[in-house]
Amino acid sequence: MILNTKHFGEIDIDENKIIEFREGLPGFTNLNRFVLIAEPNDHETEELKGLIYWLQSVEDPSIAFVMVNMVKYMPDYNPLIEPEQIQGLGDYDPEKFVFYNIAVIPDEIKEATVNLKAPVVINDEIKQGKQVICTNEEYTVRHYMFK
Amino acid sequence: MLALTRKKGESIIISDNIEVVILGVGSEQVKVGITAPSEISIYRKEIYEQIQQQNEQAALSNTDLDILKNLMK
Repeated sequence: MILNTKHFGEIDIDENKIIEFREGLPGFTNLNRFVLIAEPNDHETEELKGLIYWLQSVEDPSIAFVMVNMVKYMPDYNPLIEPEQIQGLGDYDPEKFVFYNIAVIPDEIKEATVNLKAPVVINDEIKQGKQVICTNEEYTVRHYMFK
Repeated sequence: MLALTRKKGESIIISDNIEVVILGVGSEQVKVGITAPSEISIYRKEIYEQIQQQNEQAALSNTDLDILKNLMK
């Protein structure tokens, strides 16, 4: 399926890889279908492997979110999620559920923040995703990555 | 907006599958219990709005990730 995206230009996506977000995302509840695109060239750098992904909207190709896998990048990041939050994502399996954090990247890159409070959880096996809220009080929606 | 007055222990039913019950009433706070199908998300409004705002900003993000990646190495 061809998508004319804002960030990658024209790309061909495998429809079997489309992930359904039944409730969309807060602020984008009308967008329910996304694909995960690994940031190109990351496989060349060991430290960056698997850390940065784009959540590209299928319905609105101009919308894509940068996501960082903070569970990998930040050693003690441990979001606690109540079972009710992830009920729609199938039986919980730590091997199949991956957590990503949506990043805000301003022009001054050093000011980049990630949302630690509300990670995006994806069960790649059944292709379902959801942005959930962890119960940890110490995490915020705007965590500076480099400060 | 529909405004209703409820006493502790009384409920409100929304559509036919969402129930809001008043569990306790204090001078400053009210404790509510909500029963809804699992596919319906329930949020504290201020948190929801913060997430919404961050997502909206994220969609406008600078997309040149080279500098970001250098900072992360």
